[in-house]
Amino acid sequence: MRFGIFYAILFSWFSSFSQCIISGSISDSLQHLPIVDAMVVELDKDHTTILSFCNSDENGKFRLYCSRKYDSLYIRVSTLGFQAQTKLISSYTQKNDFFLTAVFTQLPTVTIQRKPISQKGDTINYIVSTFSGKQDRSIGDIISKLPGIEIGPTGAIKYNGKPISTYYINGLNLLEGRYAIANQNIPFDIVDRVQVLENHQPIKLLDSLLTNTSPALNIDLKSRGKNKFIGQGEIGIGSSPFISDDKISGLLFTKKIQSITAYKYNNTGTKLINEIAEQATIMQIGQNKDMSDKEDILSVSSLPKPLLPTTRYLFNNNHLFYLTGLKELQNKALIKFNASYLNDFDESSGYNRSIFFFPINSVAITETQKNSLNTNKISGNFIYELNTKGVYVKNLLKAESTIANEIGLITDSGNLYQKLENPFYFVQNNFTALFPIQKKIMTVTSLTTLSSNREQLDITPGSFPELFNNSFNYSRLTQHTFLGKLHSQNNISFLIGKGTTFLQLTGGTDFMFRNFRSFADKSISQVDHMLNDSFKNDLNGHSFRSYLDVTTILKKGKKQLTISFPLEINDINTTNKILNVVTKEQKMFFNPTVNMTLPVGTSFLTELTYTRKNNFDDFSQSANGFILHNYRSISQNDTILPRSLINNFLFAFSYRNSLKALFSNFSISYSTIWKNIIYDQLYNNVYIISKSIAYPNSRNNIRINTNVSKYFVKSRLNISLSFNYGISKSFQFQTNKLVDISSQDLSAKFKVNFDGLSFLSMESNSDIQYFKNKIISITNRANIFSNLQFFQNMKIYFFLRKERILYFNSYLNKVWDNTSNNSHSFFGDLGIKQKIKRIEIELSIKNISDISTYKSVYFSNNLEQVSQTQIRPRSFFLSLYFKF
Amino acid sequence: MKSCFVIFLSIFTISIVKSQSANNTIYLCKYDFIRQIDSTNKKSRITDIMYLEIGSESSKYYSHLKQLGIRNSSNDQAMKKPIEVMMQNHANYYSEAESEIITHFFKSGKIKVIDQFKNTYCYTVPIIVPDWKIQRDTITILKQLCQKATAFYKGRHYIAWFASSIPLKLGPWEFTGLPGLILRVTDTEEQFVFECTSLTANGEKNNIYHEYSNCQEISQKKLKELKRLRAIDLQTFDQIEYGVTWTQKNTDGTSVPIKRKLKPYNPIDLSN
Repeated sequence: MRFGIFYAILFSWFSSFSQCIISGSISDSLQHLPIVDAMVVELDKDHTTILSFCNSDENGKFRLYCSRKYDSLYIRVSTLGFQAQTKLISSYTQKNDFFLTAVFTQLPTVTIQRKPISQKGDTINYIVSTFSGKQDRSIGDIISKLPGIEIGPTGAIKYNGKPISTYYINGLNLLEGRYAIANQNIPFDIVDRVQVLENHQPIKLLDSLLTNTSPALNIDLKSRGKNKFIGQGEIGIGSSPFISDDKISGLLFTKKIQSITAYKYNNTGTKLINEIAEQATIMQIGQNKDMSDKEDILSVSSLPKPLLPTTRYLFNNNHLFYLTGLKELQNKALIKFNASYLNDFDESSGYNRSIFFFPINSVAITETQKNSLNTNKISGNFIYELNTKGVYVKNLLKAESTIANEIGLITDSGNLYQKLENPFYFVQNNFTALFPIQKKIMTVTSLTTLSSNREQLDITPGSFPELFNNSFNYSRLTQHTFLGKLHSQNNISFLIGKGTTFLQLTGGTDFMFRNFRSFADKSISQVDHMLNDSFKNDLNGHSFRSYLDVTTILKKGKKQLTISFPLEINDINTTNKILNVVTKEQKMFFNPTVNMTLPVGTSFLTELTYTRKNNFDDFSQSANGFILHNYRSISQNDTILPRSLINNFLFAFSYRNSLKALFSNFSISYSTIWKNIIYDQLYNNVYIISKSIAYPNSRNNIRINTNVSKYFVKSRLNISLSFNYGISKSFQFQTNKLVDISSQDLSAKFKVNFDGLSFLSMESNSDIQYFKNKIISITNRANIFSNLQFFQNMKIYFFLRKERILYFNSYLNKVWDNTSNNSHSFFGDLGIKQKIKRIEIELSIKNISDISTYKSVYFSNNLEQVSQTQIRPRSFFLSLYFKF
Repeated sequence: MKSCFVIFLSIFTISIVKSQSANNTIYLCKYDFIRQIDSTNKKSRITDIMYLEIGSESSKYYSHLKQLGIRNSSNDQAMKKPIEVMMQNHANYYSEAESEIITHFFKSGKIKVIDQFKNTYCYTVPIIVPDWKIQRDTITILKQLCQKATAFYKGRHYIAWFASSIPLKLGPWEFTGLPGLILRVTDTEEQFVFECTSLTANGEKNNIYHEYSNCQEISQKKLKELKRLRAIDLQTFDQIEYGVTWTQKNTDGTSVPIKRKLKPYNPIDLSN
């Protein structure tokens, strides 16, 4: 018992030595009423760290066990609605009362700001709300402003210099390559993030096995953009002449169903065809380019396209309807369909001066033209895709019909009328399957394309009278051509490997059948005459390529070395039914490619690529019957099979630092293109006769591209600078003389987006382009022509009131040319927008200064075209945009 | 003149202090709440947005997403949308969000927990204040200097970060008792993470919030058991709560009960 009392006394003595107790009461200074639940804390010397704490009870009493670390201690008493009080007291047990003064306690208001750009692994996230401005409407408006991302004139998206391979909406690839539909139709305010998936492997079965160096883009929708129908529309009218721009679209994005449907009409110069253009395609190992592209052989002489937005110069009338849909089935497979119809009528008129340069002199042709083009295009595709970690199956069935009718009128020395009818049809089926077999992944691909392209060109009065009608004038010349193609590529491959080394063995065949026919007839005094065999071609050709490819992939982390050794045997057979000549050729080609991807640190990536491509070119280039391409150009070719060899070296590096919002890329490429035929051009007043002749020749190109883009977060300023330089050297026969053509082109672009002020937003695009051509003959006589152009487009938005925007859009172009007069043009638009809830009303004046013509200069090889295009007149436009 | 100014200032101060004393929301804290549904699977994490509305007499803690889901579901029902459409809209109903609403009465030191399934259940218990151990480590969250505190609470070890600059001894869920508002709290295995994302002073009223009505008193233990059953075995839960049996049709037209699938359950409260 005595020991117990002794220990208790000893314990309390030690306790009182190590700890002190501060007790007391807390009450308000005016009425002395107790303050309940006030916080009493013991602070460290720095006043920031709490060492111990307690709360006052219902009587305002408190009892704080302090640490007794120092001789004196700080006690702070605080509670909501009273001024906090801090006292410095000695650190021994004592009683201390606090009287607090009533005061309004300002509590902090803070919200986390999401970082505009962040990175997680290989994914770069751009928060849409931090890049959007009040003037923006669709997600394409935002994507074009993102640092590191650029959208080209046709809508193709590049990330740090590389084109994107896939465009996802909420992780689903609804549109395949036609992603301009999404860019134009998805309102930005339903999108949370734009994600760039670097090194994205779209086939889940190959994920983590093979690294794909192409980036992909994902549009991550907000919850209010999902699971409900989103509708939007626009009605716009203006004058003069009467103009209209109307659109209506509906979007639906659920977990298993996605759809975008739209109908659009305008006669304001907007080309709707770009919206349904295919922007990205993926080719399998061994596959050649598919033959779905339309090859135009005949043409109506038309003005070169001015480097202006089409809304400035194009007089059009176009309708576009499309329907796209995706549905996920129970087995996780996707079915997708895409149908579109386009009716496009374009008119343009102006004056064109074509100058053909020779080493000593030049020939100029002047034409005053009025052209119209009417296009009806129906296209559709149906896709079945099963993409799981166990299997990949995709079948794409695509069909297209394009019927184009073009009319051209040249009014310089009497009227010359040209009419081109051009129906084109094609069907394509593309099948790919990947599945594992005994620790290997087997790939089967099959691509089959069938196309028909028929063209008929009428020239009234008939041209080339010395060639077609013994130098006598005649009333009409008609050129007919037909090109039919069947192309089938099939291969099978096995991917073997584990860890860091993979081997892919591919074997396949490539069969192509082409039938090319052409003939011409003339009309004299309303009587048609078929022209003789010199103006006829009837070529049948089939090529059979069988190949074996061994691809080795060495992979360590993100480092990857890919070496392909394909060996090809090519068999070509052509039959010229007019000449009754059969040509057979067999060649073995070795077309290796080497690609090395090497990351340096976490931000740099270097890439080195070498490709070699031996190829038999289009055999219709060997057609030796005359073909009238347009009213002043006719060709006759040698009968040897055209062949080419391309060697290409590419070095590229890219840098990205999402923390600093800095992106840059640099690439340099050197290529040599060897061909076994060369073209010889003969000029006869306004007529050009071109001949292809057997003469091995090569063309050398060097191209340098670089781009830097930086986003300043605080000032919401995005600056992008790009520089492109190219030099090429080639040979050409001109009027039976061999000349050396050397070209240089340089362009520097500067882009600024600024959204940093509450009352102003600005976008500026400046572009300076320099082009120089030098034509040197064997006698060292040279003809040099050069040109410098400057473009400046600036859009400024003033936010007048909460929902009212005043904007000014200007376009400046200056041309310095050593062969014609310098010129400059300035266009301006002014508009005002008012938002009322879900409706936006816009009133604008376009082309304020009513500029009527625009001068543009265009170069290629030894040709310079200087044209004056008619510009759309000043117009007033009222539009109503609404969501439903 | 001077005395007039002093009177005016006193009236002004008293009126402001009075406005703080009425039990409307004087402070709103928003938390991102990340929880791991399956304790063995780190990928089974879901994120919720929780609101802590603090008045002078009580505070209310609830899921904003759940309230949003209830509103969306009610709107769709009011519009008599077909069942197929409602199934498509299911993601908008946030069925996985936390359904519990906790009201903390400061004066009595009690909490009232309300939960809603088919019926609304509630219980009131004295709040258990964690035995916090204050540490000297500090970090800055939402521009506020926060100090570390640790505690073992309801079966889990927690690390909390509180801001002494905000003199409110509150935090998310049932966390309380620190000398400053808790801005971040996580268990040591990071299966439950509460992170404050926004602090708003003076009454931002959440128009979406709708109080559960007609609550039926139930014991804390029984409600815990019901929640466990709903998470693990929804079919049995539906049978008890709604009197509904899940069946599937055979090809011959007969119906058989759907095979039960047991799901993992990882409650925040591991106490008995």
